[in-house]
Amino acid sequence: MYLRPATVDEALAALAARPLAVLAGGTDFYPARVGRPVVEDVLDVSRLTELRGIRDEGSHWRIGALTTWSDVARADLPPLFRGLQQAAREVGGRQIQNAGTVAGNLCNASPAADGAPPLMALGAQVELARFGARRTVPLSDFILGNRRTARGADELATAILVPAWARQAGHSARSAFLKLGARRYLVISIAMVAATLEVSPTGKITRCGIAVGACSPVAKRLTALEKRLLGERLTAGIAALAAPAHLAELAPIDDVRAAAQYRREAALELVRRALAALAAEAGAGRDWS
Amino acid sequence: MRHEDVSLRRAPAPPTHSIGSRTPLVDGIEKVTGRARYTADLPLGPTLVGRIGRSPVAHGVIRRIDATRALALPGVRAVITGEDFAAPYGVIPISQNEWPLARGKVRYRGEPLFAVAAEDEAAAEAALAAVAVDIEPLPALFTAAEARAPGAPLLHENKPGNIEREVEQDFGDVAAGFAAADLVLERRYECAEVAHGQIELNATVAHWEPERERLTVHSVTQVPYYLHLTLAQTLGLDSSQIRVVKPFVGGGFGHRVEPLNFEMVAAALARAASGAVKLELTREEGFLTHRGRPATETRLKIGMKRSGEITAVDAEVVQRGGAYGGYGLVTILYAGALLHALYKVGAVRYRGYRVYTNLPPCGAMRGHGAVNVRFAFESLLDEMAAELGLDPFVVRRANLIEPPYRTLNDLQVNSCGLAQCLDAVEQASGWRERRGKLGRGRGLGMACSHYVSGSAKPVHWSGEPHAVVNLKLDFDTGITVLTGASDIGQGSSTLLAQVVAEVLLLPMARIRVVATDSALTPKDNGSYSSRVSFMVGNAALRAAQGLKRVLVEAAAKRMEVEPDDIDWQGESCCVAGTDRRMDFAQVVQAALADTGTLTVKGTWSTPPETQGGKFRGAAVGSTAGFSYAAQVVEVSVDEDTGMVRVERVWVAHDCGRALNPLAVEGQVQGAVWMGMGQALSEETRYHAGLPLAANFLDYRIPTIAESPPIEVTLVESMDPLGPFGAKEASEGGLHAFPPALAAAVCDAIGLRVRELPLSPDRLLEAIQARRREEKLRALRAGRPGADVPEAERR
Ligand SMILES: Cc1cc2nc3c(=O)[nH]c(=O)nc-3n(C[C@H](O)[C@H](O)[C@H](O)COP(=O)(O)OP(=O)(O)OC[C@H]3O[C@@H](n4cnc5c(N)ncnc54)[C@H](O)[C@@H]3O)c2cc1C
Repeated sequence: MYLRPATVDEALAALAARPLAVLAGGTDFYPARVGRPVVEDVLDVSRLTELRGIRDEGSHWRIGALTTWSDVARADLPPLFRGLQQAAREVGGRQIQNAGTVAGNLCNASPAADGAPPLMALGAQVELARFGARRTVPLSDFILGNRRTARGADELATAILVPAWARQAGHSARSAFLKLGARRYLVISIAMVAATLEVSPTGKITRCGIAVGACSPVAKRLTALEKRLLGERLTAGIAALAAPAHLAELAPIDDVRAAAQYRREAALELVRRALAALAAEAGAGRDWS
Repeated sequence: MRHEDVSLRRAPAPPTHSIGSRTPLVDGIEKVTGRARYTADLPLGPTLVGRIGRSPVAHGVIRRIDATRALALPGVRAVITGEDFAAPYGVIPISQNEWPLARGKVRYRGEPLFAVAAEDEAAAEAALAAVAVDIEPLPALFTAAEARAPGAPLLHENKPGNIEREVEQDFGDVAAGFAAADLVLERRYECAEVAHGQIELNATVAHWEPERERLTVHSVTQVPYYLHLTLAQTLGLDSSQIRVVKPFVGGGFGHRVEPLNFEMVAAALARAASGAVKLELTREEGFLTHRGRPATETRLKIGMKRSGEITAVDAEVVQRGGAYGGYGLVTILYAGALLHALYKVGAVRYRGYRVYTNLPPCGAMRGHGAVNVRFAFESLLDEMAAELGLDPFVVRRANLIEPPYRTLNDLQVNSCGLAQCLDAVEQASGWRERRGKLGRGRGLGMACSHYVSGSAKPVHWSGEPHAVVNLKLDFDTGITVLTGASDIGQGSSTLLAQVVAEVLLLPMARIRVVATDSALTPKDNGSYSSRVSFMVGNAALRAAQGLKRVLVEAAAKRMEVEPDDIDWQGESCCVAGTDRRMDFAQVVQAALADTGTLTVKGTWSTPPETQGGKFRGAAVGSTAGFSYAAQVVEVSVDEDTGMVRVERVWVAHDCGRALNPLAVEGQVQGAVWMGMGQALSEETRYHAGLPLAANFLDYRIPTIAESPPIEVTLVESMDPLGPFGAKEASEGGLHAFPPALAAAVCDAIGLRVRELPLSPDRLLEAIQARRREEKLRALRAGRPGADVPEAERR
């Protein structure tokens, strides 16, 4: 069976009735089925245009589940989203960015998903809907492991919600994303790092999120480092505050893309560079929001 | 950019009509509009679907292959095994030890074991799953060291020590050479195995006509003629029963320079099923078919005078060849032969070992045999230059060949523009002002290379001319070039049309090329060893000269003058000094009136003095013309992540006369770029014989984002034997990239890496090893009496 409903309600009704494999941009869906026919019943959500686009809803931003990476890259967003936009430009290549969705990236739950670190570092939540009900789950609780999420079989991810940052007067926030791969595009990340910093009018860090991907089954927030950074002044010196111990929770593996040791070292270096980049932008008086 | 230099030994070429101008490829329109039909686009009618069943183990004895259940399935038309073939094959006549489908034993994981033909894909898949296979595993060998170890099990009974070929070559007095040197240095180098990565997937369409007992095969080959011979041999057919057609081919780079198992399998399936079979391989199966550049360990020792003069070379090369012979013995011979002919060298000792292992078989790849030793050679020259306080350019200039020159191993060099190549890249890169002054993390490196313009002796030695071209001119006044030369994207069809247009002074529009159909076109040995421009170009040149003679004579007869009185101007001709004139159509008509349709043949063979010496293996490396190249690579190195970025490349290539500068520049850039892939990121990898990177996501070919500007200078040394002075242009630019890159990295961060590829993790590990070593040394130096062993000087 192949369904391609026009409304979310229809889609949820179908999901409530029987198990269906959800298909969005298909850029993970089809590669996972190379060489074998699609045997599952399919719910193609690509016609649910109401789920596409990014909106400011005051207390949070809503990124609709069908928003593609190209949509993110092109959207007019405050510097808070700089990191996510950098990630958007580095996912696969242009064709992949045009077809692949942010929600598909998270629901696919690959350890190397480029969307996970920047959204974690923003403190994002995933909105899940089932017929007649709706809930939100913090992203860190949504991805449970390699290819495992908290999504119920009858649920559809409808949006990613990013809380508003820098709501106090004079505060500003900005994010950065760095990806390391053995080539620039069309590469599965060896490691990637996202950092979001909010600073007070006096230049002190008041809130932050630092996340590392591809170095553990699920992207990880570096909570110890985040604590260490709070209250520090955002100057070039903060890069040096990141220490190996802050990455202790990571569990990188040896694989065809890189050795574990290399991943660990590269991740620390990327964390430092992301912080240094944000400090440099603060120093240069770049636009924060 | 063209390099005109009065110091070149030959005068600059006279102005021409067609050659030397930037000519778009004659088959370019089909390619860019998508109209070109590649093998997989074919079938010429309905076909059966072929599929190959492959070995799940790396080494084992085949106990049983039972197809009973598969054959009983609906839609299944044939199942074949190794028993369905008449003979084994192998591109080199003396080492044919491979069956299209394994027989008796399997020797690598993924080796073709059986094949099915069915009415559709689903039936073919079902049949694959229904064939019962019983293989008794044997211990498998995955490294050259394991395979060479005493007591290791043998892959082939008749190959003791798992050695396919051991080469021993000694030229000159090596001991005396080292004794006369001011510096002798010895180093080890390792290069990972790489694959061609041609974009077009493998495919063959085979059609068996049971009534006529004839076979027609369309395939992705670079060597339709060898394929033709091999089909006859393995299927037990007479070659007159076979027709081989090469449609558009989307790249080869050596993957397709030998007949490949799937091509014979498709043909055997078609015969078994009495019909047409289309066999398309996946990308993973392309990596399993392999024939790439072998993992290579090189131990190299060079003796050098203070002046930079090379007094002696001692090289030992071990190649991990994979499970079958293929081109293996040629590869290991090339590695030794091309230690010569780039520079004058005082004496050379070479030991080469081609080793069988339980991995997909290696073969010929762009730059065949010479790339990995060149990495070692140029890297060591760079290191020795540093030790002696010499500029790397000075070292190269101290060893230049002056043609005509006969190498120690009897190779003939008739033209050499390496000096001009060196000048060109030294100047273009700003070497003198910039090297060593770019700051930490940024550096320049250089290296040189050379390659053959066609192997002087064909693989199948039949005594025939090495190249034949037929021209047909008929009532329509169009000229058809009939050639067996395989255009695989390198532009050979365009080049042949240009050569004919040049001789006859006709517009390209009058000329058509019909290529690679054994029923129509003359035999050609194939597109390998960069032979086509040189050899087939020469045959086309002679064919065109022959046709011109016929036309001039016809015009002379019609106008009742001597042929010498005719002033040939292409679209018309006149009696010299008069206004008596005939246009081209009138001349053609006059010629046809005498004989009917004109067919003129041109042939060419390499002169005997270019065919190498008399010792065993001497034919390999011999060629009628060597190309030369020099390049400078600029890199930036990120010492904290190990990432290397190639900022820019300057390359100068001596291709003799550049017949089509547009195509030559593209070929040179492609060669440099392919060298870059090998140097930076490409690497096949296996776990217990299972390929880990058999797809284009994990087998990391550089993308356009990693591709630097590559500035090409063409040096035209005008080879006395090449067509209009032309030589090779598409391989020789590759070899120098990896060593130039390693030298540039050394210039940037002071670290010599002797392993390829220089992937970020490998480089970071080397950087950290150096840091540890420096700490250790500082520690020891701080302790009075503690000695720092000399061995730490790396
Ligand atoms: C060549 C190539 C390169 C790539 N490079 C990268 C890269 O660099 N970085 C990277 O992170 N990824 C990369 N990817 C993976 C992929 O493109 C991304 O993960 C993409 O964002 C997936 O989105 P999609 O819409 O195509 O998902 P789909 O393939 O349609 O779906 C993916 C999974 O999510 C589920 N799903 C999708 N939408 C929903 C929904 N609304 N609700 C519930 N479940 C849903 C599907 O059931 C499926 O299991 C690459 C893929 C390819 C083919």
